[in-house]
Amino acid sequence: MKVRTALLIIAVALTLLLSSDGGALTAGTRPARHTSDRIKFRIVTVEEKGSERNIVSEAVIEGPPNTDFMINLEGERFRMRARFLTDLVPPDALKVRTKLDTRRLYGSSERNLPLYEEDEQNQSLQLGFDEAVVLLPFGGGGGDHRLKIEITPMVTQTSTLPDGKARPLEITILKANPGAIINFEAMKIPHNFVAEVALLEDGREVASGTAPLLIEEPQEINLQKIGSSGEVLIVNLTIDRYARSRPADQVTLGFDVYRRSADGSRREVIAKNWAGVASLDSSLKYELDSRNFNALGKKYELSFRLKLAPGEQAD
Amino acid sequence: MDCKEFREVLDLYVDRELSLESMSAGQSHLKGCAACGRVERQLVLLRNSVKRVVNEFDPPAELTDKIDTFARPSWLRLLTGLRKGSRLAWHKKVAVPMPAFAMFLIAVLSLGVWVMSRRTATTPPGRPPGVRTVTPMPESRGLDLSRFDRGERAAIEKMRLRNR
Repeated sequence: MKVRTALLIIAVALTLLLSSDGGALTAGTRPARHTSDRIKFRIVTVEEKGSERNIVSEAVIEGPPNTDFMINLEGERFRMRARFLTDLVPPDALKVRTKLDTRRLYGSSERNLPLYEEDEQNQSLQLGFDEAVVLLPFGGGGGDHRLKIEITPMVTQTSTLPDGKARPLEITILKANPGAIINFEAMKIPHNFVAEVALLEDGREVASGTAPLLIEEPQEINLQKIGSSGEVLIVNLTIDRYARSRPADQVTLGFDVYRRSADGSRREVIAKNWAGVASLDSSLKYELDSRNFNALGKKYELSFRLKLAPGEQAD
Repeated sequence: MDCKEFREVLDLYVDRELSLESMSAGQSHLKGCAACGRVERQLVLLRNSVKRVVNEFDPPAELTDKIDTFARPSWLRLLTGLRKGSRLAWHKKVAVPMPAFAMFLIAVLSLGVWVMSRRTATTPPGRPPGVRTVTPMPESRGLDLSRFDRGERAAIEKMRLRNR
């Protein structure tokens, strides 16, 4: 009897354990992030006057990890476009890259044409899920009357609809702002890629390099020239934009090419501010001046092949 | 020299203003031409008569002064007029009535003051010339952003949440 009871208790405990995913036993540790997690951003626009807080608008943007969103402020004399690129950083952090553009009406010229004061800022923040990003469109210094946009990230785990399909990106307006001056956009595009770069001499590969790439972040890729005196060809590559297209999605890229001496003391520019559009998993070639390689009569090309990183999805 | 040529230079011949060669040619012609000789004698007689009549009378002093004055340079004429204290001469030289001139002067001064005041009003210190700044005004719709706008740069910060 006692044995049977014990076995029954063990069976129930195991059942409970399996259904709860180990959460009860591992209360002291945070659960690992799953690919089925969704990230939710609660965006609250607050008017602060002294100690008073008045919520002007509230919205929630929810989507899979690496969801990007924009917050736009459109007044009659002031405009702000804030773009947020978010990337999950294991085990439990969020990398938020912000690109801020503001434009303010300054005055008018002698010919009565409007003059604007414009500003552009880029910033990268690493957040825990116990932190929030605060955007101050008009700055934070001086005065007791200011406008704040608080962006609080959180993780949810409901990523599928009742019929089993993946939940789409959602923007929910909980409180609309008067005059619709503040509006939101959200999108989910791949952020992680793998770049394979090769140097071809008369069509034959003589040097190559591979590196992971994060969208809108420059990455240096070293191409060691085979049989050389140690000189290294370096490609500084950035994926600027991802565009959905058919038959294959495309990326816009920009790059510079340098030659670095063996001891690393000198860098010589071979190509600067070159750009192009490449289809994923397709080769894109650029011809380089053979004089850069002291080999007249030979044809040198730089070949790019860009792919989605493992685990990254196009949709 | 023939008669036609002589008649063309007759005045200069009588005034002895021809070259020696031309004078000699003229004299040679007169020796052989009675008609030209007669014309030459009549012209000489006419000139001598005019000189005699003119020298009989002295010109009026006022006329002499006017001619002397007219013959001087303009700056000397003006200076002479001011030294003499001749308001009449000054007025005549300016040739503009005083009320009209005064009004013109006032108009020019007013225009100058207006231009200067316009420049200082539209070009505050530190602003480029010709730029008029915008006075923040309440927005006509929705949230009034001008209440928060003090011209500062936008900022992004991190904030730790409570009760997480």
